[in-house]
Amino acid sequence: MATAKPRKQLPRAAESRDRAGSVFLNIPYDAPFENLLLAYMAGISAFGFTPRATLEIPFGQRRLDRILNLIGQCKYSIHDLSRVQLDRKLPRTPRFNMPFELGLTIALERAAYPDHSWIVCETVRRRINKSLSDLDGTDAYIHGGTIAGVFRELGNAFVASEPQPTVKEMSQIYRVLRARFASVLQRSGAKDPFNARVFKELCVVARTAADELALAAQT
Amino acid sequence: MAHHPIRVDNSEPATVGDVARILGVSRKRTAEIVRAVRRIVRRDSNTGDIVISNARPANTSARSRNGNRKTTKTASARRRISR
Repeated sequence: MATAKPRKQLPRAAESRDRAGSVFLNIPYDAPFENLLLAYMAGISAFGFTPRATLEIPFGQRRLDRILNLIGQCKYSIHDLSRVQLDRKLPRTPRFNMPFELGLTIALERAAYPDHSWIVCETVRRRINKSLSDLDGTDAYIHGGTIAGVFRELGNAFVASEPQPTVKEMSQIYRVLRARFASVLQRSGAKDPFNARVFKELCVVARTAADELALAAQT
Repeated sequence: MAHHPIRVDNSEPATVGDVARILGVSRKRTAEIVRAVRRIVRRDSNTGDIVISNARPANTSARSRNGNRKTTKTASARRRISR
């Protein structure tokens, strides 16, 4: 019987570096949000970070533990609470995953990772005051449901970050993502980007695009 | 109320290799992605602008339906306007 190869343990310094460069992305996984997922990927990559999401985690046993573990592996998190309406599928329900994962993040920040930094994004101004009034005192970043809005608000959120990409640079990464999107989907046999393989490959596309565009701009 | 921006410690930006390793994308697939992206990003030597060409996947070559060279009919000016 073949024995499983033990996974290499990363040295603590490398683990810490990976954590410092990772952004947990908590967004709705539905077709109308496809553009904004790509926009978040493009923006986060432009700032030199790696997007992470629960899309990476397969459904099954111990999913909650693995979500907690994933949040712990990220120093930053972006929680998009735009999807507060009922979905179309019967039985019609609101999506609780995003506010739930925001709650988990805040709990982890308070209990285990005080250096974790998080923000909340929304489409509609002041709606969060009604939908999640426990967050009173924390302003949400309002992107208005547009790609340009996501880039603008990421620029506001990562205002102290180095590098400081322009909205135009983020748009260029987005265009590369769009150009490669169909090919990545086709290769994975997927219909949308809300699955592990597509998400991971698109993150690599976005990072490569950020590097290549920076190189092209220099030459 | 005020926005609280993300507190960034400005460590080194992630490289393509870092992202692929963290997310578990194989080296072979990463190399393919890098090659594919390099093919579509270039700088226009005349204007200096960055050009992103929307390349088709290699295995979906356009084929003419009637054996002619042209794959699509040229749109007339009237047709273009009506789009």
